Amino acid sequence: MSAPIFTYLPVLLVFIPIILGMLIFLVQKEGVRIFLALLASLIGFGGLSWMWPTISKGLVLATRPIFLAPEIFLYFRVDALGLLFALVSALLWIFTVIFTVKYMEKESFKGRFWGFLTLAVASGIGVTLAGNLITLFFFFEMLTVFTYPLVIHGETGAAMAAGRKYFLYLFVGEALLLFSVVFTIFLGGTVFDKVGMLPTTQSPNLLRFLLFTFVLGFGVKAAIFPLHRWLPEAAIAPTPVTALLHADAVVNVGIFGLIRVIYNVFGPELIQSLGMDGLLIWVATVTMIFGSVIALRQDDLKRRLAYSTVAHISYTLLGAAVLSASGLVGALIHLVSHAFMKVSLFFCAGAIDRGTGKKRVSELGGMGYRQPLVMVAFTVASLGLIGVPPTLGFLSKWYLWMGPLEAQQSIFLGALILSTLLCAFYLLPITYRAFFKHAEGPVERQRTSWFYLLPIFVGAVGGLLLGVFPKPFLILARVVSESFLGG
Amino acid sequence: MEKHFLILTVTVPLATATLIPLLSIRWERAGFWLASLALLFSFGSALILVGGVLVDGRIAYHVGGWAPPWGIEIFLDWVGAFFLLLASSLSLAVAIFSRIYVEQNLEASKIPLFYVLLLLLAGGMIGFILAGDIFNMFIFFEIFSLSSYALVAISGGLESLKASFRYLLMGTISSLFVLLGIGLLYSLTGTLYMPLLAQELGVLPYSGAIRAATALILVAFGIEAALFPLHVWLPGAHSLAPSPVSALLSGLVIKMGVYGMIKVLFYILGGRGSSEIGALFSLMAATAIIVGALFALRENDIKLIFAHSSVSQIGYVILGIYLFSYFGLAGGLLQVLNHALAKSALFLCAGVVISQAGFRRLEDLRGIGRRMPFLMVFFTIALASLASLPFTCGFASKYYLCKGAIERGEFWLAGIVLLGSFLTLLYCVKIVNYIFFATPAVGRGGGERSYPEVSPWMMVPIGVLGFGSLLVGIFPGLSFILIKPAVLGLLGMVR
Repeated sequence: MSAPIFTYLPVLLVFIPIILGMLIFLVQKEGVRIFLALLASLIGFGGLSWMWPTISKGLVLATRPIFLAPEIFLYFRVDALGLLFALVSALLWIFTVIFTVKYMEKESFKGRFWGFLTLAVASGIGVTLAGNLITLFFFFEMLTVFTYPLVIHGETGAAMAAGRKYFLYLFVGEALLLFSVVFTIFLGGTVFDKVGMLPTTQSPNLLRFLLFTFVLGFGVKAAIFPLHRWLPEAAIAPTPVTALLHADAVVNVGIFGLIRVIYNVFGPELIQSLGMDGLLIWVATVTMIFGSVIALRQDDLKRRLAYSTVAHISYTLLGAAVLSASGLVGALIHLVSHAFMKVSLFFCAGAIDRGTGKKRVSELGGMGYRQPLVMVAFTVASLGLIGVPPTLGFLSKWYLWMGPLEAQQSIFLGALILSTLLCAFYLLPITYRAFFKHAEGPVERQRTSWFYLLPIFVGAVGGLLLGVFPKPFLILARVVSESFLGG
Repeated sequence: MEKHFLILTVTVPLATATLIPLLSIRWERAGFWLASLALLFSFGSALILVGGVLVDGRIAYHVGGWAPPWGIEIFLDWVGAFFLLLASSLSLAVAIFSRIYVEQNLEASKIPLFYVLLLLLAGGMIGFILAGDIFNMFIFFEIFSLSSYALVAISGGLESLKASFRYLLMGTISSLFVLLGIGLLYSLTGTLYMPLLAQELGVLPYSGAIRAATALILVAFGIEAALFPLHVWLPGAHSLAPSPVSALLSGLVIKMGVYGMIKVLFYILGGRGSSEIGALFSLMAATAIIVGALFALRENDIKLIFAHSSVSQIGYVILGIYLFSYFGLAGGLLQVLNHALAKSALFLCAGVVISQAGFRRLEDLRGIGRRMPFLMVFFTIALASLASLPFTCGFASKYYLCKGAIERGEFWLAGIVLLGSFLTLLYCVKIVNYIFFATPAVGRGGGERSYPEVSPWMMVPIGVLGFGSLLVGIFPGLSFILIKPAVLGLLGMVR
């Protein structure tokens, strides 16, 4: 890899939104809060887009290490992998802000909500731009901390219970993660500047143990089975928060950490020589099937979508763990496609809930008449998630299917196909019910606010357009796979 | 020149303590002003002294001009400078905070007494830090221990008298053990001056007598440091004492036990027998970390939570010291700093709440964050630091402790450190939930409770501690100006 280009832009990109987020707590006027939140997201997205031309050429931007104490230093290093994740977060962040304006209009403690939302997404971007393990861990834990008040925003008994679960799962994960981080630093690696930072001379069992703790640590956030339980529970939070959890930051960051561990900390060769790639693939496969099957049985719309996330995030893990170029490209593209579609689906669920108070799939009869635009977008996003051409989901599945074939592990191809079918089974009946079933009781057409429709359509149509013009993300994904797997 | 401040920084608070009862007859606020001025002086001279240490590394003062081994030497080196800075600054903050608190919560006749005891406590601790021979260490140890028993009991309630008595019982055993140990060492070597003692002990075989003396003194300081299972006195004493006293007891006094251990282990024994002592004490420390946190998790009284949490947090310090490695010691000392700032800020905040609003159970604290936002922001910073979140001093100390444990191949200790900080996080979140994320409690009249304004005399010390916590949290490297040479000096003593 070539030497990184020196710049302090990543520091600004992370800390300016964080400072703006803190300012929000001091502001009393709702308009100013929205302005600050929007400003933070625009700064984030603007700065990241500005880096795109450089990064897509395969170059790397990095700051100098900022030492806080011996061995503990902040270091930001933007490579294609980080930029891809950061761009997804920042882009969806803007639309989450727009959606939140209307969605939270009548809620209390909005200052707190805006503040923590901004801080959380900014920390998520911090994780993706981190250049060493300590920085990654710092922002990873900050993301968990700042998301907690959002999860329990309702302050009801159910919200507090969900918060408790969120908290227990994620912080046990983080304790394991800190152990792995310290251990890796002890073994001599911290900066993500090469593929495989660990010395291969260590005893294999020790390295297997380290990989295991890493997978547990990041896996909790990536909601891999059986560490996924907090994610469906957290669906009780306001819809912008579920979007944050499922698409903007939290789950993405978990899978991001796993990719960093597989490729930057261990490296494909070491993983293979340890014989751990099989384990990762099996974990991903089980999660994929399990999540899809559970999703089938959920009547609560948000919970069904949440289990669908459990399944879809594991596609990404599977693609990354087969250690083949197509698999990795497919994994990254799938992450982008999933984020767009899932944000749209959740916003639809939120708009339906706010418009009609319906939360269950079984209550959605006639919804296609009541909120036609929302249900059209829902259908488009569902098709995108299933992977119907020409959406981005199709492209990602194409690459994902190539992955196991290249790696000659076709049994997992079967799992992918099965999971795709299941995905159709749990999403399409919703559309069917909305358009072709009658509602109980009177039905009237509703106007849906543009604050809802714009973010919903950006997700759904964005996924569609990116399927036709996938260049911005596909180039990044190719750069990632070239740098990790050598073309 | 600056070496004269060595003796002044001890004697000024002690001498002022004797003046307060006299001047209080005529002048009502004499206690507060004299105590604050004396501690301000101590703090100022501590700064000068630390400056001297930064230049020279070690400064010593021979009392009466008599050089050791005949005369008494008091000295300050890197480790001492670290503890001295903490002791003098915290005592000053607590003295300033006490002004309003004491007037609201103690009978007027006890106020001068309170300041007398506060000065004796502070002066005793500073003397303990500076003492160059173990007998003077013992004397100052007695001075600050006795004044802390009295301070625990000062409010005069039955419960606090009981707690104080329990503290007194354990404390007396502790002093007795120290004295016995010192006697043994003296009979073996014929000297009390620490460098000479270390030299003499170095040539002697590591006999049963040395072991016995070491064990006696370490257990004694273990009681003072509230190391599990010698901690039974702590929860009662720390939770029932007046809040500023709790802040000082938890923030500083238990650290004196740690400082005493450091003196014995490194200055006197030169790291001898470190493997067997280390194994036992790290086991005790590990238990303390977990058990203390579990007890804290179970409690409902805010000061009891903090008291149990001190048992757990001091476990980290002691674990770090008994790792006998660079990162272990650095983590331990950083944890001293972290816990001193965070825990005293927490106790002072609790003091404000208890004093202004009159309650201390978690249920009563519901929604208080919306009523006292600034106070609770500092409170949360301190809690975050305790829970070792990123960008706090706690994170750095846990990181180094973990690293130290892994370096020695003791993975389970690293696991204990992390499990402990997870449990700490749990009880911190429990408190935060009540403070910020619960509907405010209903007052007697049916409406929301009202909260009086917090006096700046209380807010400023809390603010300073909170900002200090934030500063060393974001830049833990600042404290390494003192910690790094201190740790290297300690490791240099290991033979």
